[in-house]
Amino acid sequence: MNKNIIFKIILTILISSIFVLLLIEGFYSLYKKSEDHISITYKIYSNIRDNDSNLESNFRHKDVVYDQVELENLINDVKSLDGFMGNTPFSDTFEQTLNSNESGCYRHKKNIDMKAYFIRTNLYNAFDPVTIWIDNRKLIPSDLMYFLDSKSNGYSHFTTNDRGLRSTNFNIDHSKNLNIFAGGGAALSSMISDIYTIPYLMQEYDKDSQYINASVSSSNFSDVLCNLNQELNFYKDFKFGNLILLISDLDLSKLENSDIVDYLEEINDIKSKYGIEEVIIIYFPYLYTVSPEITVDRKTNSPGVYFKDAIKKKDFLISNISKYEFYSIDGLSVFLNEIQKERSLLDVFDYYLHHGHPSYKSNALLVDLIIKLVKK
Amino acid sequence: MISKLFVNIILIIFSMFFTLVISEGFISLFKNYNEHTSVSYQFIKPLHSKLFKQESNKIYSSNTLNDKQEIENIISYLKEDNVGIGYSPYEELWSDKVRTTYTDKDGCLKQKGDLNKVGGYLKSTLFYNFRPMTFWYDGDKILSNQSSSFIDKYGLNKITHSSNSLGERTTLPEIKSEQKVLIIGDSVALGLMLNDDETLSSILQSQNTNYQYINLGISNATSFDNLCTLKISIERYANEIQEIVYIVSDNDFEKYDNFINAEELTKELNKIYLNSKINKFKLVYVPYIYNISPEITRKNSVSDYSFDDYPNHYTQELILKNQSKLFGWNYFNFSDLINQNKSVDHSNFEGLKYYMDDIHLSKKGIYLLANAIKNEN
Repeated sequence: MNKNIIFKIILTILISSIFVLLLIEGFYSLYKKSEDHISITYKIYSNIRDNDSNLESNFRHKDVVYDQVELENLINDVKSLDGFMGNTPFSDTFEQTLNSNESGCYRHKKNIDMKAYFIRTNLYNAFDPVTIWIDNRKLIPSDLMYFLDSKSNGYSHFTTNDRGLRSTNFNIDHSKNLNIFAGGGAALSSMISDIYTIPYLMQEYDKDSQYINASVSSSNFSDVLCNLNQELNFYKDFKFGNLILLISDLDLSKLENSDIVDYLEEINDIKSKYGIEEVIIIYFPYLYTVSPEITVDRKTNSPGVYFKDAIKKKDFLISNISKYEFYSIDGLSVFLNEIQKERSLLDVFDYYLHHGHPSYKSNALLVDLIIKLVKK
Repeated sequence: MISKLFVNIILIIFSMFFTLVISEGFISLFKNYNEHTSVSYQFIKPLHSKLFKQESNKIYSSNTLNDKQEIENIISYLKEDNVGIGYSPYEELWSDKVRTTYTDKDGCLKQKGDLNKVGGYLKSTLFYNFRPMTFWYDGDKILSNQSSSFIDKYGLNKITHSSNSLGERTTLPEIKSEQKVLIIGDSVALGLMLNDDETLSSILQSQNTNYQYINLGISNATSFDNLCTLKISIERYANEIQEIVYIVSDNDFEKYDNFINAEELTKELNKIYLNSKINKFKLVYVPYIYNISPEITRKNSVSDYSFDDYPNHYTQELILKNQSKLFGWNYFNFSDLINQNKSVDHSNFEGLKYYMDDIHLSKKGIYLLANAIKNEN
């Protein structure tokens, strides 16, 4: 073969490759329609570049998990501690540790004693980080301990009593009014320690009454009502004080307006049936509803988790609450007001643990508002 | 005949489609790292939006700006009123009248004297996630209805940003003392987006009235500019300076004209420290929020407004720390202050409340820093 032929072959291969590349890029661009995207070639090149160790050390952080394998390597250790990992693609491989369905309601297991960690990772949803839960009574292997110390900001403490209720530090005393706190996952706020939950803080303030926490990590109202009814029945010999019910965006997102009406009607029936003094309903918005300016995914111009018509549903809820003799607290107004006072949009993060759970400061603020309402 | 015509039509359609795909491919490669949409759909989009009403933004409250067009519709009024919109692509609004700084004959950036600006953040889902748009205008200017109603609708806050005749930011309460403390650095030291009485200088002043705190911070100042300002101020306040608080922020490590790296900067500062016989020198390092909470802040942004690949500056920070130790200065890494003051939440959101945007400290951040500085006395 002479050089001329070789040259022709190379040139043909080169031109064909460019041609194929352009065709692929063109098809990909058309396939993506109006969605923002980056050229496939550059995406591949950038992935190779990102894997380069020199660059990696330059913009990566030593206390952040960047590789899913790091988490996968912990699965067995976490399982051995009767624990689980939340918010990962492999979370379903863990056994249900916190909840059971024994009593006919989806509720917590009895006498749980867990440590819960938020893991610092850029994987998955930034506002709903990976969590690791482990049994507090078990010894943590040194590798896992090192990982938890270096890749998290510490742990919170989650315990339940012998009825499967989140601990509120109360002693059964028939001479005191019994107040009940209820709701779904946001009300339970599982990632904050027991002592910083709303009913625990209420108990600290109002020592003449008793508080139980009947909230459950479910956003399904039938579970919330089922747990509420079970506790009211169990404690029916007590004189009931107030019912504090926390409803979040996630709870509302699963309800039509007619369901909201039915739900409030059921709460009203419960109030009459058990002689509850006051019903206080707290609307707790997700982070995305309070701060779309920060949380909206600019790439798709949509929130990280899509809560369609969150504000509309909240308005419907609040306007319907006013039809009953219930108190209401609109968390959206409360938090927007606090942000306005601090004059910083990023101040919203002082009120959240992750996208849907209140922080200690948030709970303390809501407790202040509840106390003011009930005192009126 | 019909069959030939049919074949020709098919060939023409195929060639057109082929050209379209190849063109899309060229454009895609030409755009390299920049995100873009298919050109064909860009042509179709105006027609599409007329036919199908977009409802994607309806979950947002009415006082969040979601549409660029709203600014573009009133841009001539904003220009006329000398209103600047910061952290946005509307650079045409940043005229000399709007700017708070100028460059002197030696090439040093200075803050203008006798400023009386009003500023604040805008609530918007446009552009950056962690760098909210800002507005700026002269406090004595009466704005047009268009500009003022836009600011009233989308503005989160209004702050006063004033300076004395020397271009030093107002520190409150006003104290005169022969014992002076100089606060120097870029917009972080200046307390940009904070009220005059909320800056680091003002908070330290309110806690210690024996000294006079002087805010020498300048928006967009580089290390080179800061050294210029420091040299002039040392001459101005000769024999009165008790302490210097020098704030280095992450953007000081970015390469620009007259770039000075951490080692050169600290050596230069040490010469000044030794020559002017100052009692105390405190060096503060304030990282970008992308280095405080990278797992939260480096996502969800489009490429033009993204900091996903922002350097971690571990090496530069280590130099600042080691040099401070060598020269006998107090050293504060703001990231360490956050870690030492963790709340009971143990959340990944811990550090974010100390910032107002990606670099400027909030009131909570200023108090955290002021307390640390005060406790080192």
